[in-house]
Amino acid sequence: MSIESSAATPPVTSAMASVSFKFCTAKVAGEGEDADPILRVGPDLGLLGVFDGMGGAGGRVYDTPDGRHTGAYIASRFARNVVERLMLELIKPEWNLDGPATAAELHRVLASSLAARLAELKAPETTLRSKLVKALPTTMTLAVLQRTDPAAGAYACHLFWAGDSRAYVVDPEGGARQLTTDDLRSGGDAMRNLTDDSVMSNCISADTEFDINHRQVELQAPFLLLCATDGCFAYVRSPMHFEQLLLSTLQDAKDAEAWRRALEARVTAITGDDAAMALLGLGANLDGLKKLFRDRTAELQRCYIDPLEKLDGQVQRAEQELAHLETRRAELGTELWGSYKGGYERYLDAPAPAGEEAP
Amino acid sequence: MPDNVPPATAASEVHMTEHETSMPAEDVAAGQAPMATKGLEYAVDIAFCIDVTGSMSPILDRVKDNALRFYDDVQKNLTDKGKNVDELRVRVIAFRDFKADGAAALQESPFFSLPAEQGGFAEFVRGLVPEGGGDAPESGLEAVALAINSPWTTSGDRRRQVVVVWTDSPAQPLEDGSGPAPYGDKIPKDFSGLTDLWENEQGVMGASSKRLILFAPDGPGWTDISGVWENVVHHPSKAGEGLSEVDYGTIIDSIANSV
Repeated sequence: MSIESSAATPPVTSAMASVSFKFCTAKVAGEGEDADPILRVGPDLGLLGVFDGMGGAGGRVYDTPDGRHTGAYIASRFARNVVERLMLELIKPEWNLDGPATAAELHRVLASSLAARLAELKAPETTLRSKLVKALPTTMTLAVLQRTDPAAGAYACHLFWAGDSRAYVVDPEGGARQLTTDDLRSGGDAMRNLTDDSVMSNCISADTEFDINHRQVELQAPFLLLCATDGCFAYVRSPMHFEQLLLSTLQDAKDAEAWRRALEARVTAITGDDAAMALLGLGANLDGLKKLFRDRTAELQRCYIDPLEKLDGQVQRAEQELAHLETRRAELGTELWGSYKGGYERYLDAPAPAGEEAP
Repeated sequence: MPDNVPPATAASEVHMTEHETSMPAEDVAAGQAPMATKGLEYAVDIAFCIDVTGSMSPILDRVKDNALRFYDDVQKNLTDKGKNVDELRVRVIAFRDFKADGAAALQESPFFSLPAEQGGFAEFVRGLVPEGGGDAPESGLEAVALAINSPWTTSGDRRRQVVVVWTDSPAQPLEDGSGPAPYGDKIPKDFSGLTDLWENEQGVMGASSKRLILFAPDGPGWTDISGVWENVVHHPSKAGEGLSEVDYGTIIDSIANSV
């Protein structure tokens, strides 16, 4: 199912050990609307990004030199390339990134570039009127890491996003924390959003207003930082199960590539969408991360996953019992009707009295 | 990389290493059917509101064909994306003009489960006859209100509830008592009430799962809806005339691709 994926240990140019990988899967080969994630890692900088072209809003098909593609397909890839290029201009190891100014610059460049791209596509005008339908719509979630204190392993992490793709940090003590707020009309409750496929309240597009959100957090290594499209996290049973997906595959992995393959395979098995993820673990190599997250993985299983699975078993047994009782009730009804029927129909089969004609 | 942005060559590239792509864990050949999503059940309900007044005579047969095709296209769009539809139901609300036609202004069907009840659905649609209605406007807003109040499914993990309107006329304004007694409590007193019914997040339709597709001319009622309501796609025309395949595909995607 995967179309693009990779795992690697970056060149060792500092004391901070790391593990990183990315993958991008498509439900329909060659038609995936998620772009290949951005993943760049250096001694003092990191850049992770995912882009999810919105098929519902951007289903309009355009003719391009690469063939016919939906606006969603074109938008995610185009925005990815524009953003990567811009961010490589903007982020430098010796600078403190100005978050709000960067968000404004991302907005300006994306809006103008997408409008120009739309004009190039020379699509015939649509007659449709709708707030749902947009030209070249895509989500974006971008995480920029700058090391602020090499000795202490401290990082400034800038998040830039529009839409419902997410960034997470996972630390060995507290587990997974969502860093971005979903731009959804229904609000930001991660559990509710698993069942409520809410309309997005904000996304990047070529023909509508949008915002680039910004948030800055301080992170202390060791941690896992990841950006993911909703195909990765929106088809699990709970937000806890998404963390379990990350950590259980880590614990079983013999190297970074095996971790990526296992995580990608698990996501592919459950997702109903295209899925893209970029992940960076900082502060330890793979064996170190496995040790650091061992207790958290066990705690997560014991406190959150096992109780739900235990109840699942009880529900399954109750459903089987219910099905058995319903079958038994139907059988008993038939059986009792059989003994009751003779008397009940006593006069129905009797010959008509003399002098009366059958109808 | 299939788009026309030059590759990044900025100075800061020297500070960060780009991950190269490698062979995926598992691949699917182009054109191969995607694996169905495990564990998710999709349920789609569609209510068709069809204008069956006399003025629809020249185009009603095409509208009927479109109704019979529409659910099929939604289902195909979903299955092409690897989403198996566990429950697909359709119903029809054929409308005329309450003022001119009285009780004959409405014909409602129950929900038909497809494909099992395809015969019943087709029979109901084929049996619609264009007649009555008097002069424009017609009772389209009343039909939309009844469609919104349909007994929508509550099954499935992901649901889509769709109302589709085909008409060649503007809509009669809603006013107190605009529907006969059996429908009175289901039809709001005015357009604001109908807007509230549609926008109500705790209402009978799911806050995120609803869609309203209008194949209706610009004019009172329909233009107000597409200008104000959320989750609406409006093709301004006489019952879908002049709809391009591209725009039709966009409409189907707006229903099925985001579920």
